[in-house]
Amino acid sequence: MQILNISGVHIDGISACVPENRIDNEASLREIYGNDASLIIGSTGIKTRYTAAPGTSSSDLCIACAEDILNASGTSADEIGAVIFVTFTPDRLMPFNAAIVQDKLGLGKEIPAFDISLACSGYTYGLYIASTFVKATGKKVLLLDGDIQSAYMSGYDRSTVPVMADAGTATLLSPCKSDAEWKFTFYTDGSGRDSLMIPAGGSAAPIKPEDLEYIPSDDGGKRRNADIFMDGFAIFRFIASDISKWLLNFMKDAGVTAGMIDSFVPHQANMYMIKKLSKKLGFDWDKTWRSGDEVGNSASATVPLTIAFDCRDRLISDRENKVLISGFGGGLSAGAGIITLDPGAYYHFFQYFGKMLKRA
Amino acid sequence: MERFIDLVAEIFEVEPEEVAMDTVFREELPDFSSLVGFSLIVMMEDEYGVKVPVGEFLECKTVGDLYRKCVKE
Repeated sequence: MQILNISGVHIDGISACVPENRIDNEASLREIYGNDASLIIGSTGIKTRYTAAPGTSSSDLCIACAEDILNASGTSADEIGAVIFVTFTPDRLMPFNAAIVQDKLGLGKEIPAFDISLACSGYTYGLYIASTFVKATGKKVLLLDGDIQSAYMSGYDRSTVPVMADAGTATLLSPCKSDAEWKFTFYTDGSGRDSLMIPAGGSAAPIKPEDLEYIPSDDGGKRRNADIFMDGFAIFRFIASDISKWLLNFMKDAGVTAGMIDSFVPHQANMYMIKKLSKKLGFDWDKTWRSGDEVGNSASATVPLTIAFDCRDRLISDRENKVLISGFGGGLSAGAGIITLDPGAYYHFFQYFGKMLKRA
Repeated sequence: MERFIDLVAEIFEVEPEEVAMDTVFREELPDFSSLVGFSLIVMMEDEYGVKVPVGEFLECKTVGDLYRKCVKE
């Protein structure tokens, strides 16, 4: 197993937001599942989800988080040495979101600014790469991670509707003298790339009018080729089998046990899957941080969102916390990191009403 | 057979004594869902090396039906 080490990096804060529309999952699922809606909620554990109002973009949510964290930490734009945006739902296919962020936040023009396109595994990649830029530039780095999955979802899809949601996050990293070493590892199995995909809209299959027509699915739902397709069982098998073994190997090779780690922050695929995963890894359920039941599965943003959402009662207050983070999903792809979280850093979760306020 | 019962009990979060070969798992064990079904299929693959297609899984009624998939192949 390839483990990448990095030290001398500190997370100054994480800000996360959910968008305007709060969805009662049972009411929403009754439309496609009828009386089985409550069974689905009981199974996935996701009671509430949030989706963006029309016109709210992934950069809108993440910029709101970035402004929040820059204000709270008293960081000025010229202190930022790089900006990295993790998303698979950028505002537009071109240009990339980080360019929008650089302009709207008034960041320096001579900084690296780029997007990383991954799905649920993305935050760990972003955090590792952002850390290397902290080390290289000696400056603070802004890592944004957010998606508007609802822009690519069929409202009648029986796999995606019960779980998927939108969110935005911002993480501010800075150089520090601590010798605490973070460890990262990554995993890719592209043979499973069709298990979670958007069939139309890329260069292999540019959108045609018929891609916007609903096609019945085998499970009784329907979706368009322009919507996210998820083979629920394939993703389940990937996480329950491949990823649980891979994470156990990571912990073994990193020389840690669950007892040596303060908290586990997994991607919030659904509550059933992360409960089973945390048990396999040896973590008490109390040490597994959660947000999915309240806000849904917002792809790679779930890891930083869960930290901001659930840290208040779970961070040990008198020392740096050693935390295992992991994201896993489309690709198939996964990333994991053993990092430290400072209980004195800034963590903030809020609901974004930006567009609504502007309209009002 | 005992090990299989233990694994099924763990998935349903019940005591092994509550599981028998003639247990109709969808009806007699608590909180069956499609995700629990996925867990059973993955367990059979991981522990017994048997890939049970979803269609065949749906035909299984009892814990014994699942067990025979594992020992037959």
